[in-house]
Amino acid sequence: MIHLFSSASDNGSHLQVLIPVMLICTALVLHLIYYWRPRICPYIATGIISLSFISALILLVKVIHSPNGYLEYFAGHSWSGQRYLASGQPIGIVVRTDLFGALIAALVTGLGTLASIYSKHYIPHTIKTSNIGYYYCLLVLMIAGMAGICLTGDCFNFYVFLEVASISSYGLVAMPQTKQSLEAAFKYMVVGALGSILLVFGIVLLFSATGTLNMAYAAQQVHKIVTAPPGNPLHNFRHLVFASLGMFIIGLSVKSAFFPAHAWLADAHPAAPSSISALLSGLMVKSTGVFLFIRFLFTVFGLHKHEYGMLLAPLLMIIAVITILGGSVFAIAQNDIKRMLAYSTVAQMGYILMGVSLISPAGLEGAILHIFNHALMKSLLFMSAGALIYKTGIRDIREMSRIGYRMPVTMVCFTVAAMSMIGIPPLNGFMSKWALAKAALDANLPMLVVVLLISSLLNAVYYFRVVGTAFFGRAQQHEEIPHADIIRNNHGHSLLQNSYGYYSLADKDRPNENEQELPWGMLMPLIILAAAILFFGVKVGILREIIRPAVQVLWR
Amino acid sequence: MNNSLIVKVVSQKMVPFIIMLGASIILHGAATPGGGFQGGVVIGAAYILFALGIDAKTARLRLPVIKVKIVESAGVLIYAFTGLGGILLGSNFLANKIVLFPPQGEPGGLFGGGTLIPITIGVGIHVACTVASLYYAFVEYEGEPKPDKETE
Amino acid sequence: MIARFDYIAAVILFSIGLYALVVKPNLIKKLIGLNIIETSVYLFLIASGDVRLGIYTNQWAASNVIDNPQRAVQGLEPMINPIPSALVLTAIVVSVCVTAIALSVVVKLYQHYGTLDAREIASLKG
Repeated sequence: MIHLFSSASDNGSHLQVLIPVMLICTALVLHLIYYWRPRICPYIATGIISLSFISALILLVKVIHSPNGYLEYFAGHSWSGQRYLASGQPIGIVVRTDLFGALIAALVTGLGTLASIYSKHYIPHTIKTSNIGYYYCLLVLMIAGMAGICLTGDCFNFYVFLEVASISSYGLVAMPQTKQSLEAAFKYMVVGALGSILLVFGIVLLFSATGTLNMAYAAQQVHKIVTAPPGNPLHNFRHLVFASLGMFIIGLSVKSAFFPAHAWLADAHPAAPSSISALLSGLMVKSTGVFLFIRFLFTVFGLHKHEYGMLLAPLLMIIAVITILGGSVFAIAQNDIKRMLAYSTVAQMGYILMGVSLISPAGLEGAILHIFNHALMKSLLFMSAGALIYKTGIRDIREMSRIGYRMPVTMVCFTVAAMSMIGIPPLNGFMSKWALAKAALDANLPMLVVVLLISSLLNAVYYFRVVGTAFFGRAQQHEEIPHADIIRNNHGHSLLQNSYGYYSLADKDRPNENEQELPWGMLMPLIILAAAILFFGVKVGILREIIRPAVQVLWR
Repeated sequence: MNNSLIVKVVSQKMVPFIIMLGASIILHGAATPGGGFQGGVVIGAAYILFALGIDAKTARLRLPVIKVKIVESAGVLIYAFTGLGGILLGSNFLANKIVLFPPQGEPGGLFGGGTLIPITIGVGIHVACTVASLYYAFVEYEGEPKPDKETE
Repeated sequence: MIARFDYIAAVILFSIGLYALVVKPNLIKKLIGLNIIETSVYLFLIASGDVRLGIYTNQWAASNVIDNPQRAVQGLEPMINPIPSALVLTAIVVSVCVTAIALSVVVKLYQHYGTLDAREIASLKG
């Protein structure tokens, strides 16, 4: 009998490797399936991603019930079956999944399922028919990469998964092949490649200092090196550890779009197809950025244990404050709805960094809660914005007057997410902001609470602008808005790409302009996400029960 | 260049030897420097040389892109199923204590790597096909307008 | 200092690459600059695996010699560390992929704009 759920000899679970493996294998045959059977391709993609979601949930339950708070799985071990060297160093590739990783993996695969359902109707509308097979291939690969990052416990494994996710996302951003998306993809690619190369640098410096690529063992060695007294030979490795820490901070800041390096995000996320924007903003900047930021700073470098944590904290805090305020201010200035949402993502990344920079368990808890909540909110916002563009072809906020009456369900979902983003109490955005504010007060930094309040106010300004225009705006008057047509020409999906021949569906599958609401397949993810936002706002205790032990594992 | 008989003949005659070199690098990947990626690139480069000797269109007729893609995916599946073999036989993913190849061999020899042999073969196949299809993607790109404006 | 000439070469290469990436307007030249930057990092990393020149001393090398426990116990004889080379190999594969995608995007951009000049390809603002 195959022991699918628990491996024979370790405390790990086969699911830890099976989730990325099954996704990658399916992705690489998916474009071949599309070649012969284009109709079943979306169903296979959705099926395999939802299967991985179920696996991730099983894994999450297993991790919750594990005694140590993590599962350790030894892949590719040696002939003798030996697991550790005499020095305690693990042999081979250790896949180590802790609660934090399992939680984010479940989030990644869950949102991936919704995005894949949403894509079925949305994507034929946005990209060429001949590219749909590659779209699903890259989508599944990207989710595999992001899930792999969350599940692994090896420094180099995470780099490989990070590149799998990043390279797929470069391709996906370029997929509509419009001027904007190609230019954005080029910028994204150059910046992403620079960030990745800094990460390789950091990994090898860490390896030079500690002699291992295993995160848990490297953490022990880093602790030994940093606490070594000056006479000890280990003392000489300090500069390597510091250089490596610097490389990781810079590289991961680029990847997670903190302040000086945020420009690529504002270009790349709006230019992608909306289902991909939802994944990029909701998950990509988190799993390849902030997730690894927390993982390395706390698990490996032990920021909470050593004195350099106290030196870094103010720096990170300043970056966080600038990112929050800058992102919000830029978002107000935007007229393109997706670009506004992208700048809002920048601001929210600042919130998460603020929680991290407090270097306290409460702050970390708030940060992880906000990672989770923001992923739900921003995916919903991008998906509903994409639905508006799909249906009406309008990207400019000024043109959206009374659109809420044409597409009530979509706009209500958008409004729920926007309220949550602003921080209206029963919704989940309030809960994470509350947790962050409480952590800031506990750390005796009331200024950060002021920053949070200002940012919430700015959030309210730009989200209520959309909601207000959509429900209470005056009837459309195109003449009043200069450049409205030009903007629509540059960005328009549904109206203009028609004439470029990007429509290639059968007539009956085309969006019907007279129909008031979206197809059911696109509406369902929106409603599920809106319900999840309400649910996790009311029942925030469920998340806290997972996150609190997760922080304890990170804090060790 | 297509008219040069020397280029044509030499490039055609070189191909089998280059492929042999690539295969040798792949098969010895477990024991010596090299392995799937390097050998695969050598084989892919052999194919590019072949396509450069005759023109790309004819080369494409010899090896259609869809076949390249099928073999490419097969390479990944070889890797994955070698890994899954470990699970099916009651151990962990990619476990090396099961030996798919009966001659277990000395460590350092050709078969000393155990399951590393199918893994490097899978990687080599995948990389060779990737290099070939990348070449096709750039060489056979059509539909480009011919603007007369040149950048510096 | 002269013993670390490979690190100096890496720094020089990095500067050249950064110059090309930032200053040159041509997209292809920018990509070449990116590749030069990556190459400089790889050079640095491979050099760091070398025992004679490297920052990598045999302090931890002892614990790394998996296949030869005797040597690990002695912990004396330094050897060239293979792991940075293996990592660099993977990183090279990644940079090949990124370069391929970037070049295909450049081809498409040329199709849209009829130029490779980055100053003219600027439709995204704000």
